[in-house]
Amino acid sequence: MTVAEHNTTTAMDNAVSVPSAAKVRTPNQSWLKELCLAPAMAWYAVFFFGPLGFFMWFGFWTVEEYTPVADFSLKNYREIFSNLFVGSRYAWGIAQSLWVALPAAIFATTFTYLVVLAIVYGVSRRYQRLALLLMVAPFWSSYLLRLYAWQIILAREGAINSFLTTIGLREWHISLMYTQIATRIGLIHYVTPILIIILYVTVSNIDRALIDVSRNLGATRLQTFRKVILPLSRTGLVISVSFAAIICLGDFLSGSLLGGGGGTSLIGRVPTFPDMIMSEYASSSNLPRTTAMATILVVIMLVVLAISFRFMEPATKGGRR
Amino acid sequence: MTESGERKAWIFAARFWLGIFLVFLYLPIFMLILFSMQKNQFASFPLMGFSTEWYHKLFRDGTLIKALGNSIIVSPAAATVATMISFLAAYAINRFEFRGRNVLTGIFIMPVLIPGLILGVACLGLLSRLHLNGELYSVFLMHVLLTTAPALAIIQLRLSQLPRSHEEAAWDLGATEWQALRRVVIPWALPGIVGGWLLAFTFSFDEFLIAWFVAGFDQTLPVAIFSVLKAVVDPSLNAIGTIVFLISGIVLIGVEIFVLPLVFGRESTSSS
Amino acid sequence: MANKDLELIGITRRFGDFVALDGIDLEVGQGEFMAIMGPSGCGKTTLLRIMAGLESTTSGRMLVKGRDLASVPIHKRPTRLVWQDYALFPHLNVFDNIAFGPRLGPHNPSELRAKVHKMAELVSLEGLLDRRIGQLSGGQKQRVALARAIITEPEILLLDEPLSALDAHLRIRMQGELRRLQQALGISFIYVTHNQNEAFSMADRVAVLNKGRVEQIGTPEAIYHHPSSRFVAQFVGMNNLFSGKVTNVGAQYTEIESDTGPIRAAVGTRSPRLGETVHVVVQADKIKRTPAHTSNENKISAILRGREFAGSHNVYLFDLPDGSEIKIVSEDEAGSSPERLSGAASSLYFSTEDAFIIGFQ
Repeated sequence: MTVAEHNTTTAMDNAVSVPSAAKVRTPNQSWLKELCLAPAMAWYAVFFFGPLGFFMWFGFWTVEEYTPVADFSLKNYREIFSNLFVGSRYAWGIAQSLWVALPAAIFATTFTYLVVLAIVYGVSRRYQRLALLLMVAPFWSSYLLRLYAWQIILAREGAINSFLTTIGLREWHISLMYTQIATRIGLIHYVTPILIIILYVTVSNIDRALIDVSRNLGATRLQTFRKVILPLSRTGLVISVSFAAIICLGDFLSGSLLGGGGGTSLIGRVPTFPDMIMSEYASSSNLPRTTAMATILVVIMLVVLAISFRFMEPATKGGRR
Repeated sequence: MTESGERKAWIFAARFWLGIFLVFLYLPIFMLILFSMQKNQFASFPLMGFSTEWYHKLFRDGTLIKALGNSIIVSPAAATVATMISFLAAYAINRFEFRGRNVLTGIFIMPVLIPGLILGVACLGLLSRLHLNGELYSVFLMHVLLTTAPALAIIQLRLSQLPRSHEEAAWDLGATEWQALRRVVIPWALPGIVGGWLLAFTFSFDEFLIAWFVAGFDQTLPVAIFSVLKAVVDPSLNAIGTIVFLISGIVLIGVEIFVLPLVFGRESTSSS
Repeated sequence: MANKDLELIGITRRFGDFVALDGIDLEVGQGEFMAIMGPSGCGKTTLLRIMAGLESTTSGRMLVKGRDLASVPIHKRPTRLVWQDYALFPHLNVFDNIAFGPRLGPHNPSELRAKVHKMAELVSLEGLLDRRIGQLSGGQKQRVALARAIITEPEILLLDEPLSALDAHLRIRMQGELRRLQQALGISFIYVTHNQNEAFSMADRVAVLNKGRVEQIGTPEAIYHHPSSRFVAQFVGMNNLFSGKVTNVGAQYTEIESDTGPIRAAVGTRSPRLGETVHVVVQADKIKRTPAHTSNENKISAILRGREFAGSHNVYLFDLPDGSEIKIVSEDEAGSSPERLSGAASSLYFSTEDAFIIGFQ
């Protein structure tokens, strides 16, 4: 019932000088508005923007005699940048993070996309909800514990290898533990339930009529997929990849538990950047500098987000919705 | 191949793929449950027989159980407070049209997008200067912040399904805003509120990073698990894992009842 | 009118540059059934919502029984609104829905019970009081909405196209019930609709709205037989419009020169000036295909284009030489088959008495 007419800002209500009393307070002018928003906004101000603001500032602090001191110096950043390729070799860490996160994000999205396609087009409507529930359910179990479980599965004498030994296939042993492939497995496992929801909403919103029309006009299933379904899924796919990438970039648990901290990959035996941050935090006493490193991580993530917006733009700008 | 033959092939392929995926998703959970009830010290084959000794060890040792207790205190509390402030905020966002409404919604989502690592370091910095950290209390405060976003999303989803005329009718019949809220809006929003609570609870229960940064001696469960993980191979982790999955399973049933209907539309809402 | 239930004075509503309502003046007498009619987008729903207090006005005043409602918030108003989608509370059953209003303030539970039962009887809902809303039919929901509003004893009942969701038969029955209800209660009903038949069958008076302005207010007969503007003439009933310049102003008739030849129209209350451009309105059922051979008969030539069968009558469509269309309503003509009709040149006749002049728009 909400007609476009009702979208009004009360600033427009200029009372012409008519000899009437006060204007009627319409629903949109209620005091409830401020009252209801206040608690949430207050909480956010204190516990979110406060720490974040402080966080930004903290990166500029210096340390004297093991205690942080308020300051506005670039010392921390200079130290970090001078350590990019030598010393702590942060650049390698950043590269490792990107190298782990991006393929993981793309792979997870592809993987999940195929699953969603299977659910939407391969499962009867009645069971789709059940299928979705099953797919999303692991999200409700502990991430840490799932990582632990992967540990015991992938370990040198873990479930997979010992199982292979038991059935006599010792030569097929895998040694994935402490590689970044293991890290990616953990990340994909973590991120999948979220992606399922995003992609399911996207794909299930594709009008069935469009597919019917395409098939009617003679297109094969593959052609229909390429020309109808895929383009219409574009926004959802881009959102999924960027969402997954950001989560993977910021995660350190997978890298730590499955990648062993300095997991091997094509880049070498280098920990991911978040892992470096965590170890710095645990070992060094220079909290401001660790904060500066974390700020750099945030910047990297924002860059990734911005790049993904480029891919999204044509779809959301001109697309019909 | 005939049309229906080709169709059957695709459907089979789809379901086969789903099956593989399900195995991937549930393999870790399955392993955990399996080895929590086997004599094996190390989780490897062959299986050495059924045993509940790891559960006994879990309860004897006590740290993990105590941490579970802490989580059981913190998470519902955080979920409750988060649900309350989310409801109020969702109500305001849904009902009032004002400039910056979308921006505000975006702001409320932000804590979920910021990696826990960043937020953890940030919080530690601020809270330590305020001498607020090191308590279970501080975890509670931060978890309210973190879980507001998911609760808000669910409640907002439900509220948006209430036709505006219902609230207007209540006012027209003489209800004050507060009365209309209590007698018409909240009854309607109840599935969303419960669903939001469940989601908030889950987020909090599993949340590790912030809890780790902020907590002191009283640890929540994920923090305690992490310590054990880093320290030694301990099969009682399997036991606690199984217990956690059980709790999650119960929560999941609640989600199935309250949240999924909202996502899937009117089919299963009885009050429509 | 001595006692007015409602007075709207200069109600204006602007949304930025868009003017939804432009100086609406309206009066509703005591216990009157007033219909507000108009095409979609004319502002009638906005007007109703303003009366209910759900929207604010840019300017203008509203008085109910002499009381200015400017500073009265929604929940304190003596008006009640019945929504198009009924807006029944789904979590309450019929009884609780009806009792909702009174329960908001201090009340006596047993008195309330009696009252609810009385209400249910009034709108023919006995026996349905413990049903859930989802179990009701459209017509039943309609009546619950009415009972819920009426039990709070409003001074004016506002209805926003309440019958639009019902099927034709039910709608006609409900029209009669609404009218009876209004007269039994003795309060004013203000009924918004775009359906002409509804407005005319129920209302004491009708206000025709177009683009935020009142085009005409009057009894249904007055509006039907004497539309005062081009819009009303084309919106209400089936009317034909000719236009032309006034060539002769006499005591018996006024003559104008139109594209189809001279037309003589009846002398109305307003005398047009010589040379003025005006419209002449002739109702569709007043134009005949056979002459009546009276002295004040008009005759025009037209080409038959087709026929629409409407059950009790036929609607014949003719084209005039200048391209405009004429519609005629007549009883069934025996023996005419469709193929022979189209393209035939015909003469059409109507009396001067049945043609009247309105200002050109």
